[in-house]
Amino acid sequence: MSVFVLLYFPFGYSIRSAMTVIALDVMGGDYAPDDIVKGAAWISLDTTIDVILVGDEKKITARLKELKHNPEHLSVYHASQFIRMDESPKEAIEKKPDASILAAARLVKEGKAEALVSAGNTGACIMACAKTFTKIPGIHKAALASVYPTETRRGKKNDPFSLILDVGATINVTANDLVTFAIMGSSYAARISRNPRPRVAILSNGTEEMKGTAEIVDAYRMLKDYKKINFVGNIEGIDIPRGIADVVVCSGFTGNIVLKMLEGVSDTVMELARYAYKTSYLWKFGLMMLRGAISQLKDITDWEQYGGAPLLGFESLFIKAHGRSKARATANAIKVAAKAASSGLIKDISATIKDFSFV
Amino acid sequence: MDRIIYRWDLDKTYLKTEFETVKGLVRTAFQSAEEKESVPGAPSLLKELQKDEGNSVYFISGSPKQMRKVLEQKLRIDGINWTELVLKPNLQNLLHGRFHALKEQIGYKLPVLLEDRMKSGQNSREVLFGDDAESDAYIYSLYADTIAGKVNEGTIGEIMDLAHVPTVNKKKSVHVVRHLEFSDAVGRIFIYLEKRSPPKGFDIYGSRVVPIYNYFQAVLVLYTEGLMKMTSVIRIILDLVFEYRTTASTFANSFQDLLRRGMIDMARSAEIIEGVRHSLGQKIIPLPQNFYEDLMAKLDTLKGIEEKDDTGGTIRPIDYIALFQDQHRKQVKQKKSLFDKLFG
Repeated sequence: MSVFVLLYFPFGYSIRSAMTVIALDVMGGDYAPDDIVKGAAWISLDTTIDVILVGDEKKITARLKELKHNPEHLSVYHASQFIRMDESPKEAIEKKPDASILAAARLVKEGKAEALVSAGNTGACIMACAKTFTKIPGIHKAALASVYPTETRRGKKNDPFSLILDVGATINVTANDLVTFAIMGSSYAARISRNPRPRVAILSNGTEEMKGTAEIVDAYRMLKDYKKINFVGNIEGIDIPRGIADVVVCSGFTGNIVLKMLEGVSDTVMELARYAYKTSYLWKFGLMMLRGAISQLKDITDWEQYGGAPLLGFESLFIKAHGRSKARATANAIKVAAKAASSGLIKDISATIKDFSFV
Repeated sequence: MDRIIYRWDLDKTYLKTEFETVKGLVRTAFQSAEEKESVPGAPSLLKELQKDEGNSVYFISGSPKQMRKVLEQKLRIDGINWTELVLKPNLQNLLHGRFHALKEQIGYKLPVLLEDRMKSGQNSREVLFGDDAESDAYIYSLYADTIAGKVNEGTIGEIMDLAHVPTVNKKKSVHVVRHLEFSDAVGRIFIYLEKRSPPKGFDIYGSRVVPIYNYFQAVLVLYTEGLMKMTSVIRIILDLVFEYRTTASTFANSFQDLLRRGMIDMARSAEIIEGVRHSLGQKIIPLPQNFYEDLMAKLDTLKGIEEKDDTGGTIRPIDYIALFQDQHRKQVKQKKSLFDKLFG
């Protein structure tokens, strides 16, 4: 038997190595836990990703029993508490040590999972990561990224989304922070969008080198000669939807305002279309004629296909899914997390940060 | 240990079979014995079950009688001994214009099971294996309750009428029921979830029916029921590792799934974990790198799972006529929605 075994499993071969393990905060999100569990159930049928569902074990098991799934790729880790979407993050993190987001983060920190996914309270997620994870040496502040649909297609995947970071994790930034955000964003876009030389830009109030705050001017100066990053200079707000850059770097304060405004504009456009549809038969007819194009546009800008965006800066990975995530968005967020985990993203960021500090 | 009869469905339970597409159906019909694939773990489980003296294996299959040679050859290749292999007389059904009987299962399987019970001795205990593709859970539960004397011949007759079973088969079944020595002989009914059907759909049958996602789960339940020795458990684990490259996390996750669903109890589970630790921990058999460490680390986390109430095989009374009508309604609805999708 032993000869057979050695032929079949040569030295150093591990049958576990092919699988990525993701810790999923099942209790976070507007549609948690039902839709979050459903997303994991889909993943278990379609991929070899192992998912640890972290949350109320009884609720998770009851929900799984109602769904088609493959338990060979799913396990449950019980957490007795969870943080609601409307809770104060700081207070909740302090008062609920067994909250699902904290328990899931601990599993990643302990090496039992390779990445964390949550659609829960954003502030609580960031604080849980900050409390549990270790920062990559050379990085002082973490950056939460978000994706935004643009006119341009990028990379092998024809990805319409550009990455914006930071969108709220770090309010005040230094020039050095903006540089590290640029490195992290570039590395992430290269791996996830399969875009080998993503164009990186700083968001400012003008494209010229001297435009913007002192931090922006300094960051521009530091990045312009660094050849490992495809730095294309400053861009203005108007350039974001045009897709001039694949990675847009800014402070968390600016990024959050920009993101909310972009979302607000999209919602308003949709509202106006609905209003037009109801108001006049002629407009209704016009919209019906455009139905195909609108549907295509909806497909292109469908955030659910992206699933989530990363919180970068830690030695552990966290993918934040949209709070409104249903099963499909959850499944895609898990896929993004698995892809990021197996792509060597953290190693690449660490190496680039180290390299940059020598320049 | 009493004499035990293990009754197995063949297609989708023991053999990987694709009936859903015409291509799959044609392929199945023309496959040689060597080309036929068993469900991972099924052959090794069967071989272990046969090791206890007096235990026997009966197969009942929906495949036509013309496939006997190939199926028997496949079982021989897998090293399985069997007492009986019953196949469906589909050519006869076709020649006699019994088109309904070609797909119908109750009118075929129930009389066969009941007659076999009469023939094979009525003192033996039984464990049944089926799948979620057809109505195995229903037929097996009905059979179990009939031989236990919980379902009378009138109900059997009524169900067979509802299923449009030919009178000759109905009469056969009713006759057997009249002459049965009733005994609560069926322990567990394992339903292999080939279609990954939600397990909740089987709650109605009580905990006698155990929906399983792989045969490792069946092994765990059989061990906790005292129907399998630890050495057999280990041999099946090793077969799954070496033949099918089953990972440590697949074993641990499958184990946890059973515990969470209340299919096995904590005390017996701890016994299994210790048994695995004792047998594999000696490292006499060279396992894949980190396999043992991974497995034990994951199995140790199972101790944190809360004990469930419904372990131990509680059996609730089942209204088989209402259940049949309900399932029939669902099937009609499904067919209608498929029709609507295609032509609506």
